[in-house]
Amino acid sequence: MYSREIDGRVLTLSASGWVYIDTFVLYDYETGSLWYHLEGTDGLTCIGGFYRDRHLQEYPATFIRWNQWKKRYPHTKLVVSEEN
Amino acid sequence: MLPVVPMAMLLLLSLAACTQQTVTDPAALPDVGENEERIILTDRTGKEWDITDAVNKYGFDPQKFRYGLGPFAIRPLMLPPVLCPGDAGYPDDQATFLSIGINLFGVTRAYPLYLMLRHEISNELFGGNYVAVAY
Repeated sequence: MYSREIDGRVLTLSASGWVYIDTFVLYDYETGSLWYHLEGTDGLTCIGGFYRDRHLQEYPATFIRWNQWKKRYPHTKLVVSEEN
Repeated sequence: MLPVVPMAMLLLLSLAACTQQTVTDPAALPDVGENEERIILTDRTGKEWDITDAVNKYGFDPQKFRYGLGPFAIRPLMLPPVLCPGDAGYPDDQATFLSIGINLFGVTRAYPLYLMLRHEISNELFGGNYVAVAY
């Protein structure tokens, strides 16, 4: 999970459709800047565009099975499709 | 990191192939060009991406970019709905599907991987913090 705020501006992140070495290249709708999680870093780096060389902070997330997560957090919510 | 999900990409490619020109090689080499010393990638939709800085500053190899499905092939989630305990459709405690768990800024949520496979990104607002959950 990453921050999507920079200089007081809120970005909308999306997949660019490109993959580089098994990792999605992201971009933001607002400026078209390209964002990538460089190896050895703890967030997204802008590798091209308006915010080049800037950084978006990473936050912790856990890959886990539902039953284990539910046991840990009994009141957890579950994200569902917007089409539901 | 953002691990790619080849099966998801292949699924999207197969769907795209139904409505667009035939795609025979999902990992075909990208269309790389140079324009006044800028390095440009052109994706399958014709959109051009300037990767000059990625190449010159970060050492990216233009030939290693893959797929190039275009920016609208994988639509991100935008503040998606959630189910709470007791809601219809809320999973049984014993369900074992894989998910991404988030417990931050007063928000505790699980994002099923089967959903994130289709969207890759979910743009969120957690406790006043704008964040993006990524798969």
